Amino acid sequence: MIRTKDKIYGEVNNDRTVISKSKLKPNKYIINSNEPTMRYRIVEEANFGSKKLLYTKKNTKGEVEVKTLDYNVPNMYVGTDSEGNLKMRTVIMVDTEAPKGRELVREYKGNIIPSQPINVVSHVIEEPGWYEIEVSGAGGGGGGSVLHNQYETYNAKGSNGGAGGYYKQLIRLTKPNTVILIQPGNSGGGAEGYKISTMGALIHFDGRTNGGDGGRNTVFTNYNIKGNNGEDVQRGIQAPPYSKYKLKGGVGTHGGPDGGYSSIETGNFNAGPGGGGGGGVGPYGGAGGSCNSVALYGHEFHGAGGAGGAGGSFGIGGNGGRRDSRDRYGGYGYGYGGAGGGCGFNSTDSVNSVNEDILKGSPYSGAGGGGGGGTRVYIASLNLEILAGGGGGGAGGALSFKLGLITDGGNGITNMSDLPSIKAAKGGSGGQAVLDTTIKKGFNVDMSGKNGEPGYVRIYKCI
Amino acid sequence: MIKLGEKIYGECNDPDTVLASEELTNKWLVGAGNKGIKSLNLPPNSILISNGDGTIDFLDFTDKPDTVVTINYQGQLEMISIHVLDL
Repeated sequence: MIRTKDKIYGEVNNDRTVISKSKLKPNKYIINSNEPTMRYRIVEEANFGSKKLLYTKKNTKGEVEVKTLDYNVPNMYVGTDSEGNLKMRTVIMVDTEAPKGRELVREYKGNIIPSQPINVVSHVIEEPGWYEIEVSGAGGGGGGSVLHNQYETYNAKGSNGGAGGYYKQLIRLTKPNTVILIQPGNSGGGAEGYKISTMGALIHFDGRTNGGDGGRNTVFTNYNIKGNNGEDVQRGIQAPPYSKYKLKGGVGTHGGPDGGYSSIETGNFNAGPGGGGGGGVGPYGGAGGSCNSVALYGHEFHGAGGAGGAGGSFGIGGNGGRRDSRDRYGGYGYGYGGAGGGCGFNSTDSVNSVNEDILKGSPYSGAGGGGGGGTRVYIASLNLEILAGGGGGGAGGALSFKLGLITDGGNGITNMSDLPSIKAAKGGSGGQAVLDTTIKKGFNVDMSGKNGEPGYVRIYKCI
Repeated sequence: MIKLGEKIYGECNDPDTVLASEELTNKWLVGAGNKGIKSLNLPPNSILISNGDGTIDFLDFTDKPDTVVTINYQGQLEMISIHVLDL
């Protein structure tokens, strides 16, 4: 408006004048109220709500709109999802080095009883971070012992089974839901030995000296070849009948440990037990030791003492030790795990007295223990496979006029660097020897070897 | 100016009156200088931020899946790719 001496002039307000619908508070965003029917531009305060992040996004009409994202959630990051949409994310930062602390997440064990169905577990680690995986093959079974009537210094005690192979591995997981395939090996069976007991003057022998069953596990399921009796699969040695050819169980094709070692003497009463076969990482376990020929009182008494323990941890176990053809208990390496140990005794049935036992052949040697089953851990996303072999079965106790060598079953090995097997599943102890002069009234003793410890996998979180 | 019957009333425009410097086609407004305001052009898929001068700016997250907002060594916001876990 303009006022002169006698006139007043007016003017129309600029149509680009902006007015507000309300009192505008300080520090508040204002927006166009978008009311085209009004003459003037109208502005108003924008109301977003509290603790919102502002971002833009096209609507279905292709127009860009301002949207809000609620950030009123603790310990989250602003980010995008897999489709590129803005959202709040939970992020776990994985350190560049593993923390020193360990917290056991889960332990998986094989079966303490050999030759059980193979337990395959799929463990899922949901949360990224550092973890440590401990892997151990199963321990081999102990060898059976011997009843003898000479000197206690004889190699009469069954030897111990070897410990499972052991390895531990740090893994750094940067993605959620890592799947770990776990196949813990079953225990190697201790050689089945005699249980001697007395009731009055009568001495009872219960059981027979069959070799221990091998612990099972499977990986190389395509392999179906097994070693023959007394055959060393790796070296291709076929032990001929009635020979002392094999002193110990053979080594698996891909490197199982030897079974226990024992000496062999020729001559009467000299029965040489074969060692327990090795629990191998490879497809074939070592074959059991062959038996020795024995001449007893001028009679051929073939195979009186051969104890074969074969134990293939992952693959096919070799057969047990060569036995006399009359015997039905030569260990057979069947299945995919450690094979059973061979028979170490000539008798086909339990006997009820010492005299009867002697007629059928004294237990000159114990049977070999079965090899422990190997343990496998496989993480496909890391292309990591850990194979921990089972321990070799222990050799059966030997009876000889000369003191010879007898050793425990070999420890399992892994496909990674070996660590001290003291941390691994232990092998079973060998059966205790019995001097027949100690058998008195009330006597009760178990001559069998004991099962090894089952293989295991332990998963630790590094904290 | 108001005309009532035979009388006309007038008033001076407020010197602080704000004018739109253009047609306000967008809901979002910014200053245009000289007491003017104008529409703010919004790029899609962007987070609204203010830059070092306090000017309104945008952090673009177009075609950047599985990222988070971080601050780089120069103190500037940026989106980086990471492995994330939804709990």
